[in-house]
Amino acid sequence: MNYSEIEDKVIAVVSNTLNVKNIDLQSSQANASEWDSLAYLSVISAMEEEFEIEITEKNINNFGSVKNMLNEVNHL
Amino acid sequence: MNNTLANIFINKASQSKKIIEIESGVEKTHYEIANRAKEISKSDDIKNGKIITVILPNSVGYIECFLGCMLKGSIFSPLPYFTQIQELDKVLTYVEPSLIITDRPDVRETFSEKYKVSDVQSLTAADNSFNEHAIDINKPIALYYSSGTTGNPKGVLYSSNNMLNLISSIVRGFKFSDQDKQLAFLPFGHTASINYNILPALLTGCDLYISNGFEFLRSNFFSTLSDCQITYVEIVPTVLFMLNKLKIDVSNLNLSSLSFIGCGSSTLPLGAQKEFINQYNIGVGNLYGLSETGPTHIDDPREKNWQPGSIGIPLDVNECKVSKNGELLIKGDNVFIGYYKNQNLYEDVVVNGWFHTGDLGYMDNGRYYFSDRKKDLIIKGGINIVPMEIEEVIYKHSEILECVVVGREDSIHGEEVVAVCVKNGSITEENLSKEILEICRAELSSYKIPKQIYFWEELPKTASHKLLRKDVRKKINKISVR
Repeated sequence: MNYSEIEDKVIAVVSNTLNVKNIDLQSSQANASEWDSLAYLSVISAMEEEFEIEITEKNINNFGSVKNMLNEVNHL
Repeated sequence: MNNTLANIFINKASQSKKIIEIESGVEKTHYEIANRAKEISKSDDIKNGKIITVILPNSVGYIECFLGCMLKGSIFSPLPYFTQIQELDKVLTYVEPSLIITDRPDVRETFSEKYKVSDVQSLTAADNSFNEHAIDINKPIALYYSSGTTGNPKGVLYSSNNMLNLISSIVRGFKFSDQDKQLAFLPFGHTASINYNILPALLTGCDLYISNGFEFLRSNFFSTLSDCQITYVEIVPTVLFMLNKLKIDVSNLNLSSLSFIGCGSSTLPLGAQKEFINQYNIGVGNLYGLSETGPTHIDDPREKNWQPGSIGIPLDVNECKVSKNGELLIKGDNVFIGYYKNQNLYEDVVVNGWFHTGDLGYMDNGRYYFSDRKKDLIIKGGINIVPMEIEEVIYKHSEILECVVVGREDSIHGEEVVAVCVKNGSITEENLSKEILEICRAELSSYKIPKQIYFWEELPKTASHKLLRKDVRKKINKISVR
């Protein structure tokens, strides 16, 4: 998968999990009201499933924005 | 003097005890909060006997509003902070508040023509004197809206008497005192934080730390408990599942102040409870309660020979018994006084003072066990979802012949929302799914939108054509979708 495909996939994961369409590279908990406490955990769970990531104490802070998640996936 | 929880707090409000917002750093003494609450209660907008809807994040301001409303004898009605506008419209039409207190610009913009809307800061005293208002302790002081259909909404009315008796009993049962340091991070729009953290902290006069949510604590969850020397925190199973996954190293943290962790609001699987205890060596109690009663039992891991698995023993505010058909029944001063605008429903569920919980359970050796839900509720991440509310929205699509919404087991949220539909006409399943989701997005908050939509030829029914909802749930849980 190239960078652009990963980007599309991360956006699709967030978009499907939050059930909103307007997710893009800039989306984060700060600007998407649907990305609340409950949704935060849903997003992590969906990312784990989609990219086979293991959520740990060290990386759990990286799932609050599309950009950070993209970095997380690219560092795998 | 009125013997209400707010008055007890006001009269002993200390200059040394505080409520602290962890993320913003804002902190106020109980004395300052009491003064601000008195000021709010003197606002012309806070009216005795009238409903005040509050849509605020976890904050000191929320607590000041709660106290201000209690002092005035208003009916405090909190709603989850991120409730979607369309859904708010439905709830507000039902609740008919005399005032909405919020900091959300979209709520102000949408509803200010129809309702009076204010932020917390604008609530100022009409005059300087503080006159205690006579409060009828049997009249409603809180309205806890839980979801429902348009035709059958559910708003639980709680009296001042209910509240004081319940919280006093919690304080005794949980052995809370003014020496405690509580942490509250669950959304204040739901009753878990109110009953387990906020009100006990106000009644005992202890320190209370507030966080905006688990996503803000994340990997710092245990270090926050250690740094603030927290004695009690309330979580939901979803958070416990995540903490189990995270496997945080707590060996260098000082968690000796922590009495135990309470976990409630939805079913706590025994395996996950044991895993948590083994992994972190911290006791976690399985707490049970409903909006209509508040917490009813105490499962205290500090007890000698305590074993996980039960919901513990009844709090001293109520009696509990198991009916012939296995339903848990509750009677006591904590049982609510009515459903708002729905007396018939109240009479269905409270019979001779016994509240029928709709939950199945049993008693063994003095301890109570929850076994299943009799009613059709879905509980996702500790939040109650009435499936019929979602079905009502899906039925708005003209191509839907039949529809049922059920909960599917989920490793993070406990349950996830799934819809099963029977379609009419030639529209493809893919297109119909998209259109259903569009309707749901427009009318429901995101956590209620079905994670998956199935199309079946028919739904299972009894000979008298009654839908077998439990059969659908069983079948859905057998289907491997992961």
